[in-house]
This record gives sequence, C-alpha cells and structure tokens, in this order.
Amino acid sequence: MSEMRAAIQPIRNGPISTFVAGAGHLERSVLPPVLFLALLVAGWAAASANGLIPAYVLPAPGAIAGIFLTKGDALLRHAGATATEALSGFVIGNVAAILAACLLSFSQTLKEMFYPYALASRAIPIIVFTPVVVVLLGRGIPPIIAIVSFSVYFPTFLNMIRGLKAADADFYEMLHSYSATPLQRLCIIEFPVAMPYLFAALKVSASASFISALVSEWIGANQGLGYLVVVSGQYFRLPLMWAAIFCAAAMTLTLLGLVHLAEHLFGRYTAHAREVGQ
Amino acid sequence: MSEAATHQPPRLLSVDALKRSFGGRARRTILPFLPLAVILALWQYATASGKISNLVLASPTAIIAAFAGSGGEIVSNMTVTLFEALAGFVIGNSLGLVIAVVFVHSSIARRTIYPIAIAAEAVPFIAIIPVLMLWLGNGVEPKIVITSFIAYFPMLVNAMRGLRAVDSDVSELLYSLSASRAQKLMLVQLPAAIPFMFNALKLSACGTVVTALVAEWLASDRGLGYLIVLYGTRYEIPQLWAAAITAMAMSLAVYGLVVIAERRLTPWRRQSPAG
Repeated sequence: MSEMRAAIQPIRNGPISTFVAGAGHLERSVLPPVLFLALLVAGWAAASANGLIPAYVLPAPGAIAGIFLTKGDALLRHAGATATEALSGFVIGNVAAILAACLLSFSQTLKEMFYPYALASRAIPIIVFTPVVVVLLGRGIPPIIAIVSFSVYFPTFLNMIRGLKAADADFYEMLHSYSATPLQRLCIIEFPVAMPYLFAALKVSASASFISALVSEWIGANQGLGYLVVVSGQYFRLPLMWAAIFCAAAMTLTLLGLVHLAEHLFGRYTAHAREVGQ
Repeated sequence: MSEAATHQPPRLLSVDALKRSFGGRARRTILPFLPLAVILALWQYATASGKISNLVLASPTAIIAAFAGSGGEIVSNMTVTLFEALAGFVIGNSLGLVIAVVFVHSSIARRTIYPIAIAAEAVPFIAIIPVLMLWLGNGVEPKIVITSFIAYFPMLVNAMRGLRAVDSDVSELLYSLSASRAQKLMLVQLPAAIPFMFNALKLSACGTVVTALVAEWLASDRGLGYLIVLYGTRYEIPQLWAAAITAMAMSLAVYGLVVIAERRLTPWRRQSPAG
C-alpha cells in the first residue's frame, strides 16, 4: 500500500510537495544511501591501510583527498577548462535547439524536413566525429565546444518539437477566436506547455555535456580533466587520476542539481515533468 | 498525433482529406531528403572547387572511394567494436534486470542502493575507462566492462519502475488466487515491465556502441574507434570520414534492431506516435 502511495504521489502533488514530503522522511530516504556510501569509503580506507588493495590498483581515499590540497591549483585549472567547454556547449546547444524548434513550429514544411533527422539523432553517436571536428577546427577548446553543442542540441531539439505541439486543441481554438498571431500562440500556450519536455531534455544534456567534454578531451585537447585523467594514468600518478575523476563527477552532479533547482523554481510550468520524463 | 488534430477541429472524412493524407505521406518521405541533397551538393562543390582544402574536408566522392578502398579494413575492425558493444549490452542489461528483481523484493536493498543508482546514471562513468585500462590491459576486456556498466544503470532504474508499475487490480486478483511470489513475478510484474525495459534497451543500444568506440581511442590495436583515431593522426581524411560514417551506421543499425524487437514484442503500444 505504501508503495502504491509513493508511486501515485508525485503525479498527484507535483514535484514541490514531493520535495517537502521527502524532507519529512529524511531518515528513511536519505540516511540509508548516505550510510551505505560512508561504509563503502570506510571499508575502502581500511582495506588500503592494511594493504588488501595495493596502491597501484586503487589508492587510499586519504591519498586522493590529499591531492585536492597539494595539487589543487592544477586540478582547478583543468576543471576550469572542462567546465568552460561543457557549459558553453550546454548553453549554445540548448539555446540553438530551442530557437530552431520554435522556428519550426511556424512551418509545417520545415518541420517535416528536419524532424526525421532529430529522430535519427537519438541513435547517432555524435562524439565519434570528434577526430573529424579536430581536423576541421584544430586542437583545443573550440572543437570540444562544437562537439558538446551538437550532442546537447539534438535531444533538446527533439523534445522541444514534441513539447511545442503537445498543447490541447481547445487552447488553439480559444486563441484562434481571439485572432492571436502565431507569435502570441507560441508565447502564450506552446512554450509553457513545452516546459516539462524542455526540462526533461535539460537533465539529460546536463550530464551529456560533461561526458562529451571529458571524452573529446581524450583526443582533442591538451588541457581539461579528461586530458588529466589520461595523462596521469599514463604516468601512473593514480591519486591525481582519481582526484580528477571525482572532480568531474562532482561538476556533473552540480550542473544536474542546478537544472533540478531551476525546475523547482519554475514549478508552476513544470509540475508534470516527471511524467514526461523519458 | 497528427498535425490536423492539434490545429483544427476534427472534421468528417472526405475525399479531400484522403487526398491530403496521401500527399502528406509522400511529402514526409521526400522532404527530409531535400536538406541532405542541398548539403551534399554544397559540400561536393566546396571541396571539388578547392574552396575548402582537401586536407581539412574530404569531398563526398572521395569518401565513397575510401569506402571502396578501405572497406575490408573498416568492416573487420567494426566486428571487434560490435562484439565489445553487444557483449556489454547483454551482460549489463541481464545484470540490471536481475538486480532490479532483487530490489523489488527487498526494501532495505532498494532504499540503500536505488538512490545511488539513480545518481550514478548522471555520473560520467566513462571517465574511469583509463583506470580500467590500467587494471585490465588494452584488450577487449576493459571495453566490455565499461559497456556493461553503461548498460547496467538504465536497465536497473527502468526495470524497477516497470516491475512496480503493476495494475493494483491484477495484484489483488493474484493475491486472491494465492499466487506465489515467483508466479506474480513471471505472470504480472515482468510483462508489465517490458515497455519500461525497452526504454532502457533503446538508451543502452547507442550507449554501448558509443562507449566501445571511444574506449578504443585510448589504448587498443584494433576496433573501429582505434581505426578512426589512426586515420585522423595519419591525416587520411576520406578514410576518417568513411570510418566515422560506418560507426554511425552501426549505431543506427543496433538501435533499429531494438526498435523492431520492441514493435514485435509490444504490439499493444504500436499506436503510440514516433517510435
């Protein structure tokens, strides 16, 4: 019964009230995973201290934490490069996708022309074209921003096209009877209705932008956390390598958290984002 | 949902409407080829006339010639990558499904690990590939480990959602027939989870192929990803494009097979739009 209630609640009450309800059940919902993680790290530390895990396989958590103090400036510099690439790509790709989808919402012909590409793009590994883009734009930050923008662009474009035509026919009839312009139609009904679709795409692209940036740095750059992971691995500086990995994970989760926060702030429009989800 | 339904009130079926819908289908097939044709024509013009150097961008005809010349090499390396991707796809998805079944039956395991699994979906696990290379060498093993990892989390999360999405009436019916847990699982929960599982399979179909490809960038001596980087460093631009296009086609093919399997196995969802 409680399971059923938990499943129904988010749909009925929307994200904000679930959020509040979640805070009420703090010890039930937050404590177990946190305890589990703490146990995992403690076990890892103990095993490393007793020599059960050789340092060349996995350094002790203390050694990795130490890197943040001793090599903090280098980590910060590489993290800055990765953040620049991922965030620029995130913004460029998403803004371009939203504008393109809005533009296509005015023209049926254009939509029919480009929609199949948006559909197919779900299965196209854009990142595989990194070597091609590096040849076109040279090594460094620009090709990586291009790759990140492209891999962010398509999911948002697809979701926005779907979202912009998700409005009820009744709304269209009402605006038609007020003789609204297409632009008014877009701003007043289509865009607000598309918000849940937009946020579902933003959540996907938040982590996708960092993943694309990290991976394209492997072959397309000589700075950034992805580059740092590969190089420190080649020189067997394992604590530095793991510190870079944790740093990358933390940045990804931060961006994802910001998107979730924005979704809560826009709660009025995004109340059903969870249902649209996948 | 058709466009007509959103913009205009529904009207009776007429000869006009029929004509329009056939016209619509032809338009929908032909129109998408227009931008492709324009781009290809511009591309061919810019490269053949020397406006863009052949060292930077290969012309479409040169890429086709590269397929003819290096096709054997590309295909033999493609099978390596395909094997890594499919092995990870099978291992990761099976593991995800099994763990999901365990989680559905154990609330402690679920409350402890499920939030971490959801967070883990967002973590760039791909960043640990260099670590796996140190542990497992530069053969196919680290690639299979990471592709399994990539397939595992979407399946875990989606299968759990699916296994719990059982209609409560059906649950009550099984309870009143005093069905065992195993019967409930086989007869109700797993069938209910199939659409959710296909969401995960579609995600991981491309995910595993991409991951296998990029894992080969770092350290390997065969595979399509390796070949792409090799052509790049050798500045064999037409071959580079041919290999990248092959990778794209491979990813589309794997995804397409999953979509076909979904249509076969969940015929009741066929009316839903845009697969």
